[in-house]
Amino acid sequence: MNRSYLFIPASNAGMILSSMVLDADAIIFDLEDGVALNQKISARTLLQHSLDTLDFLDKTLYVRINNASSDFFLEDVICANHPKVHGVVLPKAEIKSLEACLKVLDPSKTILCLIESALGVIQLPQLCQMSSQVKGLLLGGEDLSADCGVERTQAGHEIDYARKSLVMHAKAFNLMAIDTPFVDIEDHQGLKEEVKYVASLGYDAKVAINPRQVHVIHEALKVDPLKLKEAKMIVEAFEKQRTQGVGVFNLNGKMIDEPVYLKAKHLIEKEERRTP
Amino acid sequence: MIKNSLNRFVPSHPFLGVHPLPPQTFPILKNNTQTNKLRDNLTDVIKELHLKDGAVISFHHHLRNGDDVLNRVMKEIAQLGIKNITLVASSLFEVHHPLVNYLKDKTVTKIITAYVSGPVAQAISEGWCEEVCVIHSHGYRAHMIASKEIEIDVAFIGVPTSSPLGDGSGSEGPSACGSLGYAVVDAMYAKKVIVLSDHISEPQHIQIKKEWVDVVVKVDRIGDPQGIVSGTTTITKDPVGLNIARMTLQLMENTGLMKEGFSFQTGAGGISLALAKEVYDWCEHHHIQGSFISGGITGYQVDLLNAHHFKEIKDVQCFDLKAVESMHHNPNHHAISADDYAGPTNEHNVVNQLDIVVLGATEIDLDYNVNVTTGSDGMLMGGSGGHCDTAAGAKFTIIVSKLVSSRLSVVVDKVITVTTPHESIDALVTDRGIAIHPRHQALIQHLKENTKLPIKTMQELYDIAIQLTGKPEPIHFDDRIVALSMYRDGTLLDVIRKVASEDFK
Repeated sequence: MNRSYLFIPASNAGMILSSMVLDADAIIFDLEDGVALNQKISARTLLQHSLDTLDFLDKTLYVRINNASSDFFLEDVICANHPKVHGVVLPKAEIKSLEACLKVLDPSKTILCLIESALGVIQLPQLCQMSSQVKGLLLGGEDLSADCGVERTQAGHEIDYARKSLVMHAKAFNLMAIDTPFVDIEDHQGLKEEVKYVASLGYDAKVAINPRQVHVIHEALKVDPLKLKEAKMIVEAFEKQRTQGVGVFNLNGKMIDEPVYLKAKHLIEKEERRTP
Repeated sequence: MIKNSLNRFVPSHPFLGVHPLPPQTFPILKNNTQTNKLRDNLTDVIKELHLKDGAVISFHHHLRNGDDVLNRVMKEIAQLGIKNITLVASSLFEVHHPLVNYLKDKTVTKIITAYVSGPVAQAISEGWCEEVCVIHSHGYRAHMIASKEIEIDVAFIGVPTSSPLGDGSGSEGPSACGSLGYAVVDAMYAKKVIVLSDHISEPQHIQIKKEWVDVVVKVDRIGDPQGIVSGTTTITKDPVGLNIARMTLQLMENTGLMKEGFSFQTGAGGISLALAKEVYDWCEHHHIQGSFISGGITGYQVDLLNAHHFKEIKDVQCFDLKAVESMHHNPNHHAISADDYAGPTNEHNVVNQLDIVVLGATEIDLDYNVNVTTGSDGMLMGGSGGHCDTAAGAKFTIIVSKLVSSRLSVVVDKVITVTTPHESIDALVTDRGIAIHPRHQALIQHLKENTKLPIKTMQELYDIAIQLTGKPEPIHFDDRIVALSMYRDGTLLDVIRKVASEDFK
């Protein structure tokens, strides 16, 4: 399971060249907001050549394509159909744009829906069920707050509803929940706190907009070794008790039952999947 | 020409492998008890020295790229028309560009140094120095001077604070530079010692002793403080460099050397400083205290001392103001001489007590030889400094570098110039993989089985790099040898040839 998704502007040859040696689990080559309008075509060409020639090692590669209503959309999707690319990040994901994307995207590719409009939030139930190619939901806090006409703050009250709604939908439909970027790239403490907060809501991963954020994200997502140890004890004890027909028992003064067991098991599985 | 053990052809004294020199001590015979040493006119002092053609004079580089002393003295000597000077400078920087003219007019005809960069390096590569220059290590410089293998006629020593009789300190005064480690040996063994200082006062911490000093000249300034030390040194923000630092720490942990009382040295480059910060966090997390940190010192090493992660700093050179201030105030921050640091015949030298040293490289080849002397264009641009000294002394030597930098691979088929021989190198950490010297098979196995570090062979790293960069065109050299790369035992590792004129044009 990917913990971090790092945006790399597809117009930056140096960053593309070093992207595979950075810590990030997944790379999102950005053809959209990270690329100036007059660089769009050259960035796509650069990305195509890079995909053809470079070895991206074990990185999961995504391409953030331009909006379905833009002139660049079709060619971007064709670029993202490259065999080395795992899938696309669909900006302004709404029913219409997802339909457009599904028409041209290779069926083997996955889609991460970037939820960054009020309509996208409202349409989450449909977006989650429209195609098995949709594997994840990604929150775009900056554009969402702009769409709602509210100020974006570090506290994030303005995206609170969307953030919680997104993770609930992701859980309901077994999709990855990926949180919005933390825009202050120098504030590692703030990033760490935000990652811990969204992880407590159920988020699986976070987007990084600077390579130096990746290590902070990974550290913040690490499970407390004591909690992991405790979870392993619970799982072991529960499975032993179950074979003897016991469903509820006391372990070190704590009541252990099925939900506690499942939570502990989930924690262990999540940690195992997260370990790179 | 004779082939040495690295298959390099050298004119004499071939390198035969890394073998320690037997311990030796050299008595300090100087004891100048005169009481009228203070002068205020450098021109008169130099005239009265009656320097002859062919004289050997020395300088230290603690004032780094802010140094005024060398240029000022050389100007006086040139005006007196003295020729064929052998210049024994511990290092030469861009600021010393006036030397180029003195090479051209034969005022200076030979340079012996541990490091040379900038226009002087270029002039040597272009063949402007009449005699063959010598690029040695910091440790061997101390030995050469103490053993009188090279006899210094006059040592000109810039000292930030000097008493009228010559007791001197590097960490006090307006031009404070911290340690005077490289100058101490010159002061002890040169026939004449001339101190230049812009601050005449009794120092609190004496590094240069008055009995070694013959004349103290009060000058308006010995250097530009902006160039002497940087106000701050900072960790790289480059994420690739930060990754290299993190991988290096993991490798260090797995060597088994990082335990209570371990010793450590790293440089002042961005990756090295990031590593110092990683070591700080590691010591804090594991509650382990090291014995000492050595070498050129920055604020990040000072932080390690102040947090009690290490007991002591052994400082041969300060790189920033925080280090200078720490040396002045912290009794556990010690200035050491170049001989105590790396003298190859000094049996108690610091480098031999090092557990781990982390160094840079311009090139490293498939045999693990390292070049920090010439650039990829074959031009002189550095020198050993303490590279081969620390690599030889430390139990484990790690080279850190990006695999590809400025479109060039750091791993090459054969280094242009050998600065540090393969015997002293244990590992290379790059962003695209780590190569461990094949002599450490147990460690390689351990790292593969117990860590996720990307362990590769040097050949694999080379192949990755060449796939990215293509194979560079060979550089063309003249037959003329312009400098020698000398090992810390006085044998020759390699020669540096004049770059063919069409190449440097």
